[in-house]
Amino acid sequence: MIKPSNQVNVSAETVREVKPRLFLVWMAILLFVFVLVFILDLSYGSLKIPASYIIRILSGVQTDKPIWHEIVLNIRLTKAITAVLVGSGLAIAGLLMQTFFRNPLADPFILGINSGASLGVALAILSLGAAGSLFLTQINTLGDLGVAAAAILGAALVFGLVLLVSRSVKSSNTLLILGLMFGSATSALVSLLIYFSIPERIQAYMIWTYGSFGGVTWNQLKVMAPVMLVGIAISSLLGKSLNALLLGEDYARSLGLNIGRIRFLILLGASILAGTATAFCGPIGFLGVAIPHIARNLLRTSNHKFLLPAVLILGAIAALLADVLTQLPGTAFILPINVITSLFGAPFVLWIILRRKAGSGVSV
Amino acid sequence: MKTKVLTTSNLSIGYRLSGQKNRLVASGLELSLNEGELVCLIGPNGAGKTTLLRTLAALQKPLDGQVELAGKILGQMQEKEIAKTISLVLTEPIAVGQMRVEELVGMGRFPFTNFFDNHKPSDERAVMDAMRSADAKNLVGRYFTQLSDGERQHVMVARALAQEPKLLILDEPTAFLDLPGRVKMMLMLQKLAHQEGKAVLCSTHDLDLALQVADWVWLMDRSGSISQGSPEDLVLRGEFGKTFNRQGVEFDAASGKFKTETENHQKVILHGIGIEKFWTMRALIRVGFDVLEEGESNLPLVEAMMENGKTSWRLKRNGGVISHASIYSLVYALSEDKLNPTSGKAA
Repeated sequence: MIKPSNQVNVSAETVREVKPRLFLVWMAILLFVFVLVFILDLSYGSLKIPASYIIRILSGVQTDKPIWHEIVLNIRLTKAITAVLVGSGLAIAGLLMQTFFRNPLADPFILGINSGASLGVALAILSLGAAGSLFLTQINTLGDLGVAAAAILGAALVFGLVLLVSRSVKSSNTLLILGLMFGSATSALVSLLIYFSIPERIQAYMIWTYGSFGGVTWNQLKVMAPVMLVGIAISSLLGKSLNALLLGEDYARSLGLNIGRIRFLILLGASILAGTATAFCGPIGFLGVAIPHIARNLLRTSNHKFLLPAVLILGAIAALLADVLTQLPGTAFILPINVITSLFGAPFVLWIILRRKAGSGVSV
Repeated sequence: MKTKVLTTSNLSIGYRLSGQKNRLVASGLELSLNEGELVCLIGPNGAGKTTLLRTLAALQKPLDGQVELAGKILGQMQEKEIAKTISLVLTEPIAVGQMRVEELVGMGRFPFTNFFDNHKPSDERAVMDAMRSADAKNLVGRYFTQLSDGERQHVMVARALAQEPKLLILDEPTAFLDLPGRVKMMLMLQKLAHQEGKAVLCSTHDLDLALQVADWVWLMDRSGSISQGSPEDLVLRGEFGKTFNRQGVEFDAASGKFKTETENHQKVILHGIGIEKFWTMRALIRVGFDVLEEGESNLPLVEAMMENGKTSWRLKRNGGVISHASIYSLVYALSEDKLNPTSGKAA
């Protein structure tokens, strides 16, 4: 029933808006946390380097510990930059997919992009012929561009197929099922490859599936960073259209949105981000599905104008934190990144969602 | 002379299926919508009302013929151009997570705002005006998901109005509303047409309401043909009966309502006055009697009367008189009689 206006309680609380001021405060806090976590990630490791040194090293000042320069600039900085790019990229790709499919469970890999990448890598690692032993030693460092190339090929193949189908398919839900089918078909193929492979290769493949930020070198970063930045740029500019899509495709079209073009840009942006991240770091789970929910809960909005920048920074923070946590305290032992994102992320997201008012649930 | 906002010529609507066969829903439609008029699209389920609305709103292409919108061919217009002329309220509920009413209404400014969707003062004014026109201003600041169905529908109309359309198309805007909500919605649409000069097209199953507020009615039957005219003209031409009558239901031109046909009509005479008589008659018709003012003396006679400030119903039949304290009890006695005529006579 509609109540007459004089009966509606317009208290100070109900008219509160998502004001840019509040939003800017949140962004300032997030940026500050980001800088802290970034420095923490550089200083933390099997060898602890004090933050004061990190700042001096980063600003190019000579210190009394030249070896620390080496460690920070050539190992930890590449790792941290990779984490930032992958974290931001996957989180934004996840947001795109959740809005596009209007499904709160969607993640960057829902189109089957990472299945394609996995298949590419599995083919490269598991089915290699006699030359395999040499290849394997390189695989173990996870720094091999060959693996990335195989993953990119696989991801691009799936992306091409998705794009082809998306032209003739009206409903985005059909794409969802398509991605699901790709996923199970490729995992079946990968299982088959594993079944006929040898333990050393299987282990190399398994290590790839655990994900890692540490395997990316400066040379690889020169390829990866521009590609990720292009993906992030494309995605970040879609805010207005993504808001329209929240209403559903019919409403979006009635608002003057060119659905075909937007659909292409969304698929392109998400695929570039998911494909590239997977190619260089393996399939990093959880960040893509969790970060958008954290951002929505933090800002209490579904408006992409505000969500996109928040997701960008939150993704980077989460990836850096996860990377810090992979380093077991006091040891040289490093845990796989996927273990950390899920182990620490799942309870956190549960808490975020459950602390909300009863009945409000999860939504896009 | 009212300006025509939309006209169709030889329009065929339906679905293009893969292969050569199309599913034709309706053809040869010659329709027009004037500014300042509320047009109600009425028809049985499955007649193709939604298909027609979607075609006129450019959400799907016509199979043949064309739609002309404000002097331009719809099929040749840019999406943005159409968006500035037509806006929609659809049946499917939208599922936005955390969106405040004013943000949602503000999305109606989509075709007018720049790449970053920054709202100028003119946009903010349009949003405010839209909320005022759609009686949604009191909902400012609330989350859309926390509104009732009725409130949501008003917000959706406000969103459509923020687009500053010449033509507003609504697909069953009263579907999920309670009765007062429906009346309020239809009156609001009438006001938008008459006072703000919008052309308003709305499909509805609320025949009763549509007859009371529509300036023009498109009556679509199952074969997809449309008869049109003012609601009163259509009633007098017997068009409603033709469209809706099926077994057990018929349109009563005298009351403008549907009534259920009951096969076994028994006659009963009703005496009484005022509101008691009216509702007694309703009850008797409901259970399938033909109610007469006068008649043969062997027919049952009901007298609705006041005794000591209380209404009672006296039922005279077969020489006996029984007083009933409620309509339910009266109707119960009569229906028993009807189901079991012999026992009644024996008594």
